[in-house]
Amino acid sequence: MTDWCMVIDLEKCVACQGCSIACRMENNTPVVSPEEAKNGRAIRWNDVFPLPVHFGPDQGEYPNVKMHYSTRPCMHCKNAPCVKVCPVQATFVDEEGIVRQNYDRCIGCRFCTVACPYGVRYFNWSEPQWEETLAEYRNPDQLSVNGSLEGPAVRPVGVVEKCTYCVHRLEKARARAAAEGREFRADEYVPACVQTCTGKARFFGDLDDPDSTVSQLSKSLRATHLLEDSGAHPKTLYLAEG
Amino acid sequence: MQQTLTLHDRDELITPLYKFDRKFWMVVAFLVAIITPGMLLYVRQLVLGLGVTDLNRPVFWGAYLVNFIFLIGISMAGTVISAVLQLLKVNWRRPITRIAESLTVFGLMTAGLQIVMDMGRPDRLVNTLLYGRLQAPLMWDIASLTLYLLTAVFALYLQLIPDIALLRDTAPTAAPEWRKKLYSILSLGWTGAKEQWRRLEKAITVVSVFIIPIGISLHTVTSWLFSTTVQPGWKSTILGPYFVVGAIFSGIGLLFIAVSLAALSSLALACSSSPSHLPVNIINTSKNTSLKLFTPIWAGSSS
Ligand code: SF4
Ligand code: SF4
Repeated sequence: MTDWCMVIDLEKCVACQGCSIACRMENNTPVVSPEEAKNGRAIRWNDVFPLPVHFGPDQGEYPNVKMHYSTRPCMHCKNAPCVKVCPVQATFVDEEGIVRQNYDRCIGCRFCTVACPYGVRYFNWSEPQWEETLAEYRNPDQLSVNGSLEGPAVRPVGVVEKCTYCVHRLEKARARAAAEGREFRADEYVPACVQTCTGKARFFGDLDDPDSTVSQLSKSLRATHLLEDSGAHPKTLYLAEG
Repeated sequence: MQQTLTLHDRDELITPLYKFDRKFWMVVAFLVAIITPGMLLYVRQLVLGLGVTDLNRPVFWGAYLVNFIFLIGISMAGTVISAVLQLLKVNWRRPITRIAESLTVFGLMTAGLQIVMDMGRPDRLVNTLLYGRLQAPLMWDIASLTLYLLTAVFALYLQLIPDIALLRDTAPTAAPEWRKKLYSILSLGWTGAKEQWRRLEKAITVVSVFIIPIGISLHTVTSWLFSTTVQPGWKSTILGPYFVVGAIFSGIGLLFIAVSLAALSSLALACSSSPSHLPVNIINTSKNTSLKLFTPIWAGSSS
């Protein structure tokens, strides 16, 4: 069975935030005003942030500072707490190991946001907005399975959203392969952040295929998970610096 | 044994149900003045989204959930306490039970409302029935709250049957038809016969036996709502007993306030179908005892 997984090599990451921007454009993430952002309302499916988050004496003194950065998409946990607490199955794991979100069903109880150990679930506190020019470049893709609303479709107010490993791209790649009358290959599907990554620090593929890049990388001595003891069995892999 | 009312009692108790004096309308106006701005603000929240509440990351749950917990807590007072009194056959319970049970019913209704108000999409409430999964903590809560509310309404109704029969029998001739009909349906043909009293007592006892575990389940489930998340300070096994004890504590507190208010207006006491009056010293003794008993437990479990 396919088990999609992302690997992020922190050694190669140059913290350019290209993935954040690509994610935004691909998934139509709403933009909030600076005041709202200060109030913790910003939606960042794929955040790039300094580690430790607060600059301290450990990072040295100017000009000899050493900063570390990390990036954080959804971990697509194998024992996902968000899926377990959702009362209406609005968030669910599909057969290929992707934790997906159905915007048409979510009742906005925000239980999943409280349950996710990684804080990657974002609630739409108000009607999603875009600045004029941005609105013109919205991704028209959307994924509708049995009447559920998924993918980069514009989210209604009051629902929760999160990184889906760009699951609509998987559907598109499958449809393209079917239209051309050939087998779908795993390397036809990559999320936008992986495609755009400047430092080529992100890898994506099938963890169940022993020959794929991600399974090879998962055997690396540097391979680690974020908060491994969270009990959620996170899947997204990090290759630690150093 | 038909109940009879003196002329004075009839004036005090039955007449106000049909003739609304100025005081009544003043209370209504006062409450409407409180509710209207609240309704307007809620409509605003519906239109603009939950952003108007000033909740944010990581404070996803705020005042609504606090209210919910508070109301669930005080609702414990009523039904569970009157059930315990019923099972222990304490004979001064009658005047208290009615007040206690109304507190429970109204507390629970408001608590349920808080959850709906906290939802980003209250219009999708029906999804909890269509796609609900019982493994989710929120569904435990919905199931438990609904069950508790239904049982509490039923328990209150059982206690009210003799009173409804009284209303049926004493309705003035000018009373509207629908009210007479309603009373006669709701009183279930109550005549006050000895056998009827015996059966009613039995039914109340059975409901009381059921309601105690249901009440305790609601409080533990509400605490698990928090324990099942990974928020610092919430993920703790003590929350279950902590919530139950806290609920009994605050519930009894509210009950004392309500009983004292009712005793002041003496309305509830006169309403009671039992002739015995509530001795004030019993209230005082039990208040002191429960304060002495619960304060250390509650303080102990919270530390
Ligand atoms: S990281 Fe959070 S949102 Fe993603 S699967 Fe795990 S618990 Fe769910
Ligand atoms: S906010 Fe939506 S996705 Fe999250 S638990 Fe509630 S219904 Fe499920």
